Amino acid sequence: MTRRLLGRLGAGLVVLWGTATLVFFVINLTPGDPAITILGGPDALPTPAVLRQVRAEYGFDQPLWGQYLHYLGRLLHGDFGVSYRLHQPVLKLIAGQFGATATLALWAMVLGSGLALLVALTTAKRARWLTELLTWAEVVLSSVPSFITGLLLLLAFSFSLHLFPSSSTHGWTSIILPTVTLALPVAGVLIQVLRRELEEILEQPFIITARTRGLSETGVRLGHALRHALIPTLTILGVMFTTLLSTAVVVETVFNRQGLGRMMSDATTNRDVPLVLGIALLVTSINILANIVIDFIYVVVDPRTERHE
Amino acid sequence: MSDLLSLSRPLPGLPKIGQLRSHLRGINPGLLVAGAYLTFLAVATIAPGLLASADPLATDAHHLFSPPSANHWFGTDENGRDVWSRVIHAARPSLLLGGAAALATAATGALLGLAAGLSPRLLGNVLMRLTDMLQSFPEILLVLVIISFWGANNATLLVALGLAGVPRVVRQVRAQVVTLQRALFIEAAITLGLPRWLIILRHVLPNAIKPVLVLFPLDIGWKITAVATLSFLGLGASPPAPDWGAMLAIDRDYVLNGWWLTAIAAGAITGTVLSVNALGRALIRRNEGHR
Amino acid sequence: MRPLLNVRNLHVDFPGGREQVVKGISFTLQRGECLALIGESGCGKSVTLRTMVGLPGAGAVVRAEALEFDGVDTRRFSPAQWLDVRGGRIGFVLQDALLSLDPLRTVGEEIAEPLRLHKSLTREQRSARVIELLRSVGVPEPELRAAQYPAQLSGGLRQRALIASAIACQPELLIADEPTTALDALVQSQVLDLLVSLRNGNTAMLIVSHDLAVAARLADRVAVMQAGNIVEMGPTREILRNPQHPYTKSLLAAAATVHAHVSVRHSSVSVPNSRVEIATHGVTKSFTGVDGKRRIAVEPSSITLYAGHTLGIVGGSGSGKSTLTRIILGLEKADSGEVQFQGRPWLSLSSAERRTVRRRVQPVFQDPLDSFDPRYTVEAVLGEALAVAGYRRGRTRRERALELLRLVRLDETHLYRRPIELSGGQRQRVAIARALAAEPAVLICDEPVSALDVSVQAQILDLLTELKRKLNLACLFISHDLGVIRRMSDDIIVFHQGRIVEVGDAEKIFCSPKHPYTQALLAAIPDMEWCTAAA
Repeated sequence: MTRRLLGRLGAGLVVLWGTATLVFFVINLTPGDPAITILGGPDALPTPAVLRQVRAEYGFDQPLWGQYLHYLGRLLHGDFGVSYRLHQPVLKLIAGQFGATATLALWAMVLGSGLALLVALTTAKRARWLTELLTWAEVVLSSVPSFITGLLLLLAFSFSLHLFPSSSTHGWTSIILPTVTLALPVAGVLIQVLRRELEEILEQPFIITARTRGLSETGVRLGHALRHALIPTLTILGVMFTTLLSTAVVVETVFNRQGLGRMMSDATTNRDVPLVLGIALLVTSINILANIVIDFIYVVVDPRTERHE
Repeated sequence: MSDLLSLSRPLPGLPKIGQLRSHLRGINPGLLVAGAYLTFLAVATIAPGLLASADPLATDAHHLFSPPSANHWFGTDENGRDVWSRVIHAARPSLLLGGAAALATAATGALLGLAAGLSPRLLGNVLMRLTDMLQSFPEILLVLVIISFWGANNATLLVALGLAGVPRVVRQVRAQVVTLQRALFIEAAITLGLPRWLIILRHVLPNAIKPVLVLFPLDIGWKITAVATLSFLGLGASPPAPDWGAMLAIDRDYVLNGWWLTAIAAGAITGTVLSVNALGRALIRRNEGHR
Repeated sequence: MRPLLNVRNLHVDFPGGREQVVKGISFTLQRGECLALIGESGCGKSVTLRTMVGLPGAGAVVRAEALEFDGVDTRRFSPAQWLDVRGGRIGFVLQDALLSLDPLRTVGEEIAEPLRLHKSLTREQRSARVIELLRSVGVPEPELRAAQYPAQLSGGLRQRALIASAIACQPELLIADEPTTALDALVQSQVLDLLVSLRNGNTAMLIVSHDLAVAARLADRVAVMQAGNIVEMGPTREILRNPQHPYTKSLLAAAATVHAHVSVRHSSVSVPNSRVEIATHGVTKSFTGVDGKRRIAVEPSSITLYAGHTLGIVGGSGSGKSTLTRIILGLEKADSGEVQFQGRPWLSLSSAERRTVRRRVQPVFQDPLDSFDPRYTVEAVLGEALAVAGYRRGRTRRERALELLRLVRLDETHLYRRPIELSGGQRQRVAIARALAAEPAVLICDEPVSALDVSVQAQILDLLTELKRKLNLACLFISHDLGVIRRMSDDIIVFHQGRIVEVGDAEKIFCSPKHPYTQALLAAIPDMEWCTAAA
């Protein structure tokens, strides 16, 4: 068990290292002066003094190998560079915004998966009309882009009904609409997949065996089907994690919330390369970690996986 | 979201509403609507002038935010431009970019997936590690990174969007190839004495690519959504060219004032994605029926 | 005496789907007696069983003049009443325990479930009872097994655990749907013993089987079902010895054919000048298992196959017979040893060199559907093999394809279909046709009829026998079913744990087996003497 954990962490580190290396080479291979890229692209017009400072700091006068080791060393020390637009170290900026986005993402996952499990478990393999209705709902839910859902919710609940604040980051009321917007795509996909999986699960021989023992429908769904349904849920959550982070960018913009997503979007518009890369690397690390965690939850839920490895 | 659907089993088709009134037996009325809408869009893409006479770029300072009227079917926007015309003209960049990006993803992913599955172990592993690296990046973040480096123009957007979906396709195709190599019918072909390259070409390739072809329409939907999202965030094609996502990005204070603007742009995007998804799912269903 | 089960004129419909599945059957079951429903797949026997516990299937419409359990009318049962009866008074055993036990719960949890539902026991009492039950069904180390997951148990132990969960609350009636079908021959016999002991303990049993031998051992009375009707019913001995209804007769005849002796036989001794088609010398193969340990799959093995002869290979799962066969087919590499084809080296050839000769050794697999490219029609399947045999596209190829189809008793209409649209028997015929298309000298049949119904089995075996004779093919025939082996083989090889334990003339081995494993195998064959009487 520990061997696997170490193996996975090792693999994750390799991926991180690879990503960081890729980033390094991309910076250096972009046509033009890498220093100017870091300072915000050709429109930034930095002063010669700043240029010299950046060059010295990043060691652009050194040979490529030296730069690379220098770069890795800085990363390992937590030095992700400085945002020249916002005049602050990248790590500090990220740390400041991390909490808001993390809270949002976690709540969205909980809401999304909880809702999906509830709906799927209660409605799988029931009346035909229910299945048809839900299929329609699923298609629509998964087709509407998140920012449109967000806008619609905003229009309906904030601007028209004045139920929730339309833009703020603090207070629990402000988190409701963004969480719902973020949770809907998760729920949409999960419900689709879960209902289909449950339909198959509920036809399996071991379910029939359970029924022949005198287990009621609820008992069958909660006692047997639920555990089987967790497996695809975990898979989807693992994949959805990245999508969540992507969508957070949009949601934070629509609802005018502070957060990593918003910062990322602004940084991109401003061509603030160090900040963009810093966020990207951080998010990648979280992603890798989350997937490792999910892998381990798998083993707990499904004892068969242990033997397959 | 198309990558997630690839994890799931066969999809149910859209339900048949008003079955009695459907003259063509077995054809879903929902699909007919989707097909009609997409045909309409195709015309908008190829010859927008046929559907909208006004110049999408012509501003009119006297008629800002005017509501729908006989002159302007959907009113005017914050610069007095005709909304209907802008919506029609915005079809081409969205659809072309979305379609091209989806094609890029499918082709690149299929090639790499085949390579990963058929190569000797070491090379295959290296390819999969690279895929892992790419996949760790949340898709839109990847696109944002690329844009922050090289700016937002059609070329970079195409590369960025194309690249974003590749890991999923590579995984799919490689998994298929690996499964197929152990399939009984491949073994039967081996015992017939067919050379390896012929078996790969004739049996492995077509079967391995099938999931990619089947999910292709759904991917177009996702790409179009991504294009609209990027424009909404201000990272898409540059103004004043008409663009659906950009039309939704107007100052929030004006949202209530100019609801028709929001409505039609949102409707256009949603309608497109819905139609493409509906057709895509129908295709998947037909394909599953064959097996 | 009030019967435990009373069924009169039972109809089960699935409107909007299949037509009537059960079309008016009637039977009774007394306490302590065992009734077997026999028939082929699709005759409605499983649906009948499930209707007895109120689970006929989604959308089913059940009508009957009488449907009573212990005198109580179950047609009007509320869900709560069913929940009470199921598990508590009626136990149900499904087919394959690997599928019928929840893979995500331990064996102990599964067995404890009916106890939890019907008896008020404390957790400790339940655990104790579970161990007791496992012991009573013959599972060694019950404490260990109860904490394991179903996949960790062997097939036989799993089935016993499943039975344990069905009898946990000491039901008056035990219903079993093909309880031994998914098991190896030897294990089948052991589980049957268990069921017999349960019957002797005065539990009434209602079982379903397509295997007449199982019914013969277990049942007091037998009811023969065909297409939703009971065509004949009566005491077991009588029905099997003296069938009246034509369908019963044909069933028995088919079973007999499968297990018939063949009077004329080629023996390796009688034709010493026969050309040797395949000879293996000292072939070994080992695998690295999931746990990292190296396991020997095949110990140094040497077999000889003569032209026109059939060599039967028999052994349990994991005995190495399939591995050796795959090595002969060139689908696996051997660790050491040599295989020769018609006197020339075969295994030691490079892939390229072997390719031109490969088609001379053709396989017929167990599951034909997987052995066809899902996109191909029958014509394409045959076409590919014919191309290898030198038939170019065009009229000659088409004619040859039709000829092949005729050989396997199919016709032109089958040419344009996809294998998925054909029945199991038809698919196997296509597989045989493809093998023949390559113009082989040797046919390697790996469990070719195991997945088919009894009557279809007989047809395919007949076909293979005829083709072998006509085309003078040598044949390597693998099966776990001794009856089939006996019918098809001239000589037999017995594999056990990677080693060949006995070789020789088929009849001699069947009459006087030498190796203890062979003896155990033969002892496990259910009593077939009633078969020969009916044939």
